[in-house]
Amino acid sequence: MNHIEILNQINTIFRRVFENDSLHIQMETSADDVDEWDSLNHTVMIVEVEKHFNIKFKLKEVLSFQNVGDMVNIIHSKVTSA
Amino acid sequence: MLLLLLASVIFYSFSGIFGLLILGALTVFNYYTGIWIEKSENKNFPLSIAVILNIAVLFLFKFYNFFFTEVNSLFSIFEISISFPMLQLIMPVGISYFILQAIGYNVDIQREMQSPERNFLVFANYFLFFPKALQGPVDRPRLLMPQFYEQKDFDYSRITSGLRLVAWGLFKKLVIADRLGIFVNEVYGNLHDYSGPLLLLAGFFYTFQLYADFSGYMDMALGVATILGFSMFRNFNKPFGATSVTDFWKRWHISLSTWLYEYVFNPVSLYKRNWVYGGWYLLFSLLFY
Repeated sequence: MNHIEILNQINTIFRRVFENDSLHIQMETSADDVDEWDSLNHTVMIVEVEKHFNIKFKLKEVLSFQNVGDMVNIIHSKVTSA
Repeated sequence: MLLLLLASVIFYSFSGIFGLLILGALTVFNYYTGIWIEKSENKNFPLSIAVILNIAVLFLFKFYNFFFTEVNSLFSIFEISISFPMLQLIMPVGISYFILQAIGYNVDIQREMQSPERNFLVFANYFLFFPKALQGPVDRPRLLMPQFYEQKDFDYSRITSGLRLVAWGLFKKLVIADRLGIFVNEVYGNLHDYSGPLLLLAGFFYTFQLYADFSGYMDMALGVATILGFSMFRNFNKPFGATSVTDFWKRWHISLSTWLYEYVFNPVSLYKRNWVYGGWYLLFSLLFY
């Protein structure tokens, strides 16, 4: 699975979690760009992404996310090493 | 740098030598816990010691008397003849801000987001930096600490912009907040003498008094820091321009709400993220953020 495929799958999760069907996320998208992305939805999104890719983020990894791209990179490294 | 530290020490000493000694002891303690956390294999143990001791000091000064007054009155209801003694302690100025920043510093080292500061002069200067002593902001060591290594030259435009901020802060505090305060105190002090519209107006004015007072102080603190060549955390971002309650809390006392988010809400919510769909989680989130 490459970065683009991961990004597309995350986009579907984001639309569901943030209840916004017109959402188009990019690697540079961050919480500041999405109105519905608050602290509670952030945690819901992390849980949904973990369930979807069947992975588990470390606390330090989640805290290091500055944008969607950071998360995609970590998902990619976890999925390919699994 | 020695001169700056001396200025901070003099500033704190106005509120008593005892408070200064407590803050001095906390500075030395946190200096060593930071190094201890970095060197340890199991970083959670020294971090726990650091956090528990810092909170214990805060509890002792801020909440001990309040807590044990309640406990004593509860005991007396049930006729239990145990009475905890009340302490006559003078609270060191700025201890809450100091301790919040100390906890953040130790946690950042445990998370490997920051290395412990080994230059004690820089460390003490950061924690005792006098512009943020009275009302914050709750700055992050990783943002402000490196600035103590920068060369500070005389810069006319920087100093004038700092002075302008101080003047603006003084205006907000003395002209706006204190004038509104005259009306608010009169109405709030004699509630039964005033009718509905005036009570409503007093409530409205009180909101602006609170904002002008607090943000005015913040402007003065940022202004003094700017004159000295430091940029600190911005604590307010036009809060009354917010479009929702969530947005308001992102603009009001930002340094404290982001501190709570970074060091309380985030670690606990992510650690227990599988409870996300349970009611406990929602309750917890509402309590903290």
